[in-house]
Amino acid sequence: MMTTIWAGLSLGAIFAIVAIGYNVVYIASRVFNFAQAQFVMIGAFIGLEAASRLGLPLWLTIIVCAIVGGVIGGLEELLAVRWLRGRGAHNELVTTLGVATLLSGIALVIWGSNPQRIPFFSDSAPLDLLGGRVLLVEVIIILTAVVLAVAVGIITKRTMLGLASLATSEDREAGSLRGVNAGLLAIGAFVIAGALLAAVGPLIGAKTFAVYNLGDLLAVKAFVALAIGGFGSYAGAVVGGFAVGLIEVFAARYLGSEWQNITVFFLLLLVLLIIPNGFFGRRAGRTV
Amino acid sequence: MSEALVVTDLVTGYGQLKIVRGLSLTCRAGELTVLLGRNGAGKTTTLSAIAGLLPTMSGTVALHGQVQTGSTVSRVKAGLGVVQEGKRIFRSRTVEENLRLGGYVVRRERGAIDEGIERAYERFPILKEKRKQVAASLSGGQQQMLAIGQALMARPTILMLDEPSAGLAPSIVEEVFGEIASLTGEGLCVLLVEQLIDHSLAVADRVAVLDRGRITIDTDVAGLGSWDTLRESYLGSAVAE
Amino acid sequence: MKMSLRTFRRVPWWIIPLVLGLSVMLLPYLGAPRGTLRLVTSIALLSLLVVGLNIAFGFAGELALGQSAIYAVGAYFAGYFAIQGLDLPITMVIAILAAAGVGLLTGGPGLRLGSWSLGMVTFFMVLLIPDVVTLLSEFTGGTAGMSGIPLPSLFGQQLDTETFFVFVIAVTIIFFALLRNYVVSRHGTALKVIRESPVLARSLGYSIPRLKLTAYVISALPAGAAGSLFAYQEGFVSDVSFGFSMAVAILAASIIGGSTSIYGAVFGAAILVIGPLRATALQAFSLPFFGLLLVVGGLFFTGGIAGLLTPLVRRWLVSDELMPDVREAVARPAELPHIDGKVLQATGIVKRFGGNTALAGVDLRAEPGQVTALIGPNGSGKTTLLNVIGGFLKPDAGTVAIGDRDVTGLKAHSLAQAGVARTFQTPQIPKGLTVAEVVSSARFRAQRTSVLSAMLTLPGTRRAMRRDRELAIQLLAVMGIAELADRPAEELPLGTRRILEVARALAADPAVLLLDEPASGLDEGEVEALAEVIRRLRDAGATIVIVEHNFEMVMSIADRIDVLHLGAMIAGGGPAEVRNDPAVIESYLGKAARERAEKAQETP
Repeated sequence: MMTTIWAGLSLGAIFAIVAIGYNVVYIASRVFNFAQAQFVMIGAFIGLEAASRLGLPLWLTIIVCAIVGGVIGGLEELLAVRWLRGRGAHNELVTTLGVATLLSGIALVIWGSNPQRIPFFSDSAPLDLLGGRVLLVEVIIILTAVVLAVAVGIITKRTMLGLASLATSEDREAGSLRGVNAGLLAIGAFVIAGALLAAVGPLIGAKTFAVYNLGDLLAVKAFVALAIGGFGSYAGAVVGGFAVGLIEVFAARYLGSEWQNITVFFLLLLVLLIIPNGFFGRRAGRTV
Repeated sequence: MSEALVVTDLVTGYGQLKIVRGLSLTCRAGELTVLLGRNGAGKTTTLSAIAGLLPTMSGTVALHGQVQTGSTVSRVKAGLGVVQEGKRIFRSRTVEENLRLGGYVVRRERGAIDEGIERAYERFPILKEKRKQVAASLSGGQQQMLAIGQALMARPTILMLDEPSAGLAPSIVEEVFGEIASLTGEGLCVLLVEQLIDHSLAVADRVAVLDRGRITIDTDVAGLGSWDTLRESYLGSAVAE
Repeated sequence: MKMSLRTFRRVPWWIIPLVLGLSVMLLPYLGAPRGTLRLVTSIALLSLLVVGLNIAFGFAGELALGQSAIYAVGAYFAGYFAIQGLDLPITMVIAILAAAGVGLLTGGPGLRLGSWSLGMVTFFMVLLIPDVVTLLSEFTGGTAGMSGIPLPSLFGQQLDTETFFVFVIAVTIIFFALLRNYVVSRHGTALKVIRESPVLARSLGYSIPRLKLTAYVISALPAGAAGSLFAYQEGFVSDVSFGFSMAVAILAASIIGGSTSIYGAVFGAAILVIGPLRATALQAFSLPFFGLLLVVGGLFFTGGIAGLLTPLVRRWLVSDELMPDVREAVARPAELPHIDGKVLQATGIVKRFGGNTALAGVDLRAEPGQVTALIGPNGSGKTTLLNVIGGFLKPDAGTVAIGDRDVTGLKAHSLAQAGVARTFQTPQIPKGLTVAEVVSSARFRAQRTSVLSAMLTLPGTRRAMRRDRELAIQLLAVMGIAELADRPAEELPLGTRRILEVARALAADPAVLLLDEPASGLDEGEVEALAEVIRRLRDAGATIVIVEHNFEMVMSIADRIDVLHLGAMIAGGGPAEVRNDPAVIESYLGKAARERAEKAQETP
């Protein structure tokens, strides 16, 4: 039982991390980045190359991933999002979906469709914790999710930069009158979210393997996590993420592996039905 | 006294619609200029254009001698402060967070934010009482005070206020206007847009009237003869005298 | 050589696509090789998928990425029942019904949250296909696929390649015809209004969730049909054909062809099928290529190919001559029909925003055949009161009644149905509509026509559309702008837009007419024209409540003036009374002015 719980928490932690990425971008720029989850995939593959091709140690790999993720994130904002300000939400959905497809497609071309093993943590034996078996890398992922949520939450609430993002997302014009450069915040958020998720990529990939479509299901399940926890809330991202992870894992265990994704889908439908109209509207002003 | 804000032949509006049609105005440091005009005359449009929120179709805006063509953020950094109409503070954040945000452009200067907040609490003691409260829970008058305190955090040299009296009870208006008047003593150039003639004229050094997109009266308060022209603008010629 | 608008309108332009479609149907009999037939079939099937997406995305504004999942549903259902021995028309109907079912199941929750939730739900659907196929492998054949689908048979007769091809094209033509009728009908106009301005849609009484769900379910139908045809075409169905790639390709085709067009779907489908989907050498690059298409398309292609062609055609062909019914209306003096205004009574309205009391117990009464003006300085609560009466805000206390009906707390669209019509300070004029269409958009709920009736252009729909136009032109004539009836509404200047909004409000046969600062931004001539219009409406029996800052205008048209100050009514009565009221003078000009006025009244 505990083993299943660990599995659920570590899977959920991955969703939480992506959800945190969604939040960072959403709070600073009011854009929902369909491509956010792909950065984990990018990080996983770069981790693969860095470790197997260049023999880099983990800490250096993570730094390289962060840099690449940040650059790609920044490019995404500059080229695919910035131009669309004021044209309505639909175009941003299309372009960020396009970026997601582009990234996933490029990965397919370069690395093919077979899932690949990442040479970090590959020979660690499972640990025995609280009566359940869990891999070291899984524990690390769980801790990372929590630490990240707490850290980003604190930075958002306590620092000027964080406060400025919250202000801008509430009233962009009033923010500019206080001297807050909304455009800079937006690109900054994309860079940070991209860097964070790519940096965690090698760790996550060590658990899930690196594969070109890693980001697809991750994207939707992290969305479910936010739907449960509340858009813009970091605590919500973690709680929602763990909830989705646990539900998925228990569904896999008791219903069968073909049921796990379907269960999360029905969970999404349920959450959307119960949360009263204007979930976005209600929480949108009250971020964090 | 130096000319802090000089607007020359400003033409601006929304889309194809020209609302301001050649407006010229000069405001000096240490002086309070009140801009009067009926609704729809273009007062808010003028302020928006000066702040860079609206593009100008022609004409110039100069702050301390420098013609401004850049973004709102650059004008704020050049010393322009704006208190918009409708108390546009950040309602989901606390009073103290709002004040901190006001000091965004001076955040790197040592102690600027803490000093600024102290000063705001001196000016408006009620804000100190409510500092941990969410701004949405404040009354209209308190929100207006917060908006002014927030704008002052950035240490502006030019402050524009758009109808700060709107929706406020008379006693609160007195208090707020008192604070606004004291700002000129601190060297600020103040441009006050208002509908309430009485209170404004009591604190103003200069009066300008905006009518159909242009300035029709621009004079010292002392030099303002009869009030008839003003009254006509507002209530039509039918007011009994 | 320009064509007049009248001729342009008369020509049944749909003949051209119909003739094209019919000639495509004849391809097999003109000696086209099998390979070409397969290609054209692929284009036809993809265009069915794309046109569905266009309805959901281009018209209803919802990013429905699940077309490929519904395609799969249609294919598996049809294939299964074909193997069981059912005929082609029946299996196709089953496929369409299954598609509708999926649409209902996912549309209900999916449409609840803004734009992103449906996109995510439908995207998720596509990713679920392999799991669902495996789970139901008894029926679907699992990952191995469903094989052994028999050749299509129609009423017992087996169809050969040629006749099946004709059937596919026929089905495609029929769907396009039905969907084209849907989007040019009042339903299409309603969707455009919702997309451009949800606030306006609610004030016109539209039930946005219902209309969006309908559009979404309709978008699923051609996908289901296409799925069934696909099953017969291949004789084999497996989940490999339906995935993320296909979903993205459909969206790309939609953008290239023009998401807001019906025929554009064929362009987009053709380009995609003939291009990337075929080049096997480029197969590996198809995914990144589609991604790039989406990014570029989303950035630049606001209208696609169709968007580029339509304005060109308009400019070259059509002159500015007026349509005959418009010309007649301009010549005749316009009569305003009697308006059945009702009494509006708002009592004790209280509204707070956090710590701010915007309205502190306000009463307002407006009678039919009268203009009741609501004035007051900025921040007095006028707009808040108007929004409460209009149903955009719920009062914390107090009641609102129209006639003898209590409408307190009803939302905007219900209030619209109860007879409240309003204009907006910033005129809400949706893009893509003519002036006459803007006016008749208010009649959508007044004379209801079903979607089916719209698709088949049944007499009921035709009657409604005729009445729509008659009334629109009549009201435009009353306003003095009949000659603008067929112009694009977005080209109008501000003053005319305001008047257009009044005409639209009238088209709903309002019990109460709310005008929100209609004179703001207008010059003297325009204000006078507006005042004249309002007087005529009043004389025709309307109940008019006007919020306005322009004191002179208010003085000249109001029968009763209510003055609001800091959330409370401080004065009320006829114009002469109010303008000499000391409290009013003080609220606008200040205490000193009040004292002077009072002194002036004392001295005999």
